[in-house]
Amino acid sequence: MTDTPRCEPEAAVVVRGLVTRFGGRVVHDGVDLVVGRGDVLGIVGASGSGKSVLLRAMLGLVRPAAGRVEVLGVDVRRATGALRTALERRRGVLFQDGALFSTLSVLENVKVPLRRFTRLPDRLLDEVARLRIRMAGLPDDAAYRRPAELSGGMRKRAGLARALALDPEILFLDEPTAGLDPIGAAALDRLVADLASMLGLTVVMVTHDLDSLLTVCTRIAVLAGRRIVICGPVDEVIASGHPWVKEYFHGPRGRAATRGRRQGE
Amino acid sequence: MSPSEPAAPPRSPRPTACDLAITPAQHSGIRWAPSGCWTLETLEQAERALAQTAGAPPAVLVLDLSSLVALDTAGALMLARAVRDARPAEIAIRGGTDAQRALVEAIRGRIEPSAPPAAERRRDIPGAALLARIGAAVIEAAAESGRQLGFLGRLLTTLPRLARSPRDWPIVPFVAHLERAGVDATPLVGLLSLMIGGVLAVLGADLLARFGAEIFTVNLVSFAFLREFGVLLAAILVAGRSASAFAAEIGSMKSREEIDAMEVLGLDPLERLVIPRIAALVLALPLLTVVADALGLLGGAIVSALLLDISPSLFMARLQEATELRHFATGLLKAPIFAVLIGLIGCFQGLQVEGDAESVGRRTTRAVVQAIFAVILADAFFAVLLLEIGL
Ligand SMILES: Nc1ncnc2c1ncn2[C@@H]1O[C@H](COP(=O)(O)OP(=O)(O)OP(=O)(O)O)[C@@H](O)[C@H]1O
Ligand SMILES: [Mg+2]
Repeated sequence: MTDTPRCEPEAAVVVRGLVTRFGGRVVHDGVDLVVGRGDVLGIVGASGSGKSVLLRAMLGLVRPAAGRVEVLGVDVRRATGALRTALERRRGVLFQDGALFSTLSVLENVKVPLRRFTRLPDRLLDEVARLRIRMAGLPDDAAYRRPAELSGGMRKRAGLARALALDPEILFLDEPTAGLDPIGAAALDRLVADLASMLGLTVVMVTHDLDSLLTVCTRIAVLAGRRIVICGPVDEVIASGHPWVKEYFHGPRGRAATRGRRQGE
Repeated sequence: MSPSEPAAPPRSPRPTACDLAITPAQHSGIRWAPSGCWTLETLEQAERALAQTAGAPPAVLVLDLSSLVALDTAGALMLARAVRDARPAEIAIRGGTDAQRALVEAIRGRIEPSAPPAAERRRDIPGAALLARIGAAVIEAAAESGRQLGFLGRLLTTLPRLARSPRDWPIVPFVAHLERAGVDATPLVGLLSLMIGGVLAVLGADLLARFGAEIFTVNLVSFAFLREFGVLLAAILVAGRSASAFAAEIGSMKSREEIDAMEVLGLDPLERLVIPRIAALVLALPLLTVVADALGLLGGAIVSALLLDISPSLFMARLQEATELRHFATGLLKAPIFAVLIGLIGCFQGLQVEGDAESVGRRTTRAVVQAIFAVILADAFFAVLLLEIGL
C-alpha cells in the first residue's frame, strides 16, 4: 500500500503500518487506520495504550519508527513549505491539558492562529476570537484572563476555542470532555456534533467519555495491544465480540451509558 | 463538504471574493443576498460589503443564501452581526443548504446581544500611569520585604525540629546540591580568580613601582584576595549560578502545583527544598572561597614571576611574612553568611512564583539581582564593621 501515494482520496486521515517507539519501549506496532471525511471518530483504549501518542503521530509531532501518516492527503512528516502551511491552516488541535500559551490571555491565545494565517485588522480578529470563546462555552470575562487564572475545565474550553479559531476542516481532540461538568461536557458534545454537521468537519478525538462516544461519534477505533483491533460504526463496534470492547461497553459504566442508546432507538 | 456537494479536492478552494446584493423585498422589506465565499479570508471584504446595510430598521429582512459559494463560522458571524445591528422586526433566512442556514442561526444564537462598548480603555491623566507604577512598585517592595522576613522566620522554626530528628535530614538532595552548586562551580571560580589575581598584580606593580616598592605587590594581592576578593568573587559567581537555579527550580515546581502536592502530603517544602539548598551553599561557598584565594594568589605569583622579576620563591617568602591569619579568617568567615543570603533569596523568589512561565523568568532575574546586591551590601557592611573594631 505504501507505494501508491493516495489510495483513499476521500479519506481525511490515513495511517499505514505505524510503529512508534520510545527507546526500547514499543507503543504502536503496525497501526492501520483510515478516517473518512466528515467522520467523527472516537479513539478508545486503556490508559497508557498510546492514544495520545497516536494523535501526536497524526500531527507529525512524533517520528514514527516505521509507517506513514497522511492528513488531508499530505504526509505529515515529509510535507514542507506551502503544503505544510496549508495543512496547518486546515487543522485544529486540542491537547490533553489545553497547552495554552501561559503568558497570553485567552483572547490572545485564540488570536495566535488567526494572526498566523490571516491579515485581518485587530478589531475583526477580536470579534472572531470572542465568538470562538463563546462557542467553546466560556463566559465573556474569561477572555482577558491568563491560563493560570482559569480552572482546569476552563483551560480545556479555551484550548478548544483556539483549536476552532481557523474554522478547521479537521479537528484533533485529546480528551475534550475530561474535567468538564456533565452539563458542560454535553454542551461540548453538541458543539462538536453541530460543527461536524454544519461545516462538514472531520473530527478525531481520543476520549474515555462513553456519552460522547455514543452521542457524537459516528465511528469508533479501539487501540489495544499496540494496534487498532477494531474500527467501525459505533453500533458495530459495541456489538463486536472483542473481549476488551465487551468489558469496556458492557461493564457497569458502559451498560448505563449504552442503555440510553438502546432505549432511544 | 457534505456528501451532496462535489467531492472536495485535497486543498479546498478558498477564493477571495465576496459580495452582497441589497434589493427591496415584499411588505416594505429588504433582501440581502450574499454571494461568493464568506470565509475567514474574506472577512474584511465582507465587513465592507455589509457597511452599506446601515439604515432604518426594516420590517422584514430576507437573508438569501442561495448565491453563496462557501460559508464558515467567521462569515456567518459577519452576517449574524449585521442582522443584529439592522434590528429587523422579522427575519427570514432563505436559500443555501440546510447546513448553511443552521450555521447562521447557530451563530446568531451565540453572538453578544448588542454591539460591545467601543472603547474599553480608560483615558488616564498623562504621567499618572508612571506614578501609579512607581507607587505599586514601592508598596510591592515593602510587602515583599515583609514576606521575606516571614520566610526567614519560618525557616528558623524548622531548624530546632530538624535538629531533634536527624533521621529526617534531607541528606540526598543536600549532596546533590553540593555537587551542582559547589563542585560544578569550582573550575569557573578558579579560572576567574586566577585572572583577577594576575590583573591585581599588574595594577599593583604599576602603581608601586613608582615608589620603588614593587615587592609590596605581594602584600597587595594577598591582602586583597584573602580578605575581600576571594570570597566576593566566589559569592557573586555562586549568586549568579545558584540563586537563579534555585529560583527557577522551585518556581517551576510551584507553578506545576508540586509544592501544593507536598504540603497536602504533609511534607514541608522548606525542609525538603529550601534547607538542603541553603545548607549545601553554606558548606560549598567557604570551600570555593579557599579555591578562589589559592588561585588568586597563584595568579599573582605567575604575573609577578613573568613581568615583575619577583621569583616564585621570593613571592612565597614575602607572602609568609606579610600574610596574617586574621585576613584569611575574616574572608572565610563571611562566606557562610553570604551563602545564607544567596540561598534565602533564591529559594524565596522561587516560592513567590505564581502560575505562568513569565513569572518564573521574572523571579529568577530578581533572585540573581537581589542576591548579588545583598552580597555586596553585606560585604560593605563587614568592611566598615571590621575596620571599626580593628580586625
Ligand atoms: N515522550 C515520551 N517518552 C517516553 N515514553 C512516552 C512518551 N510519551 C508517551 N510515552 C509512553 O507511551 C505510552 C502511551 O502513552 P499515551 O500518552 O499515548 O497514553 P494514552 O493512551 O494517551 O493514556 P491516557 O488515557 O492516560 O491519556 C505510555 O506507556 C507512555 O509511558
Ligand atoms: Mg492521553
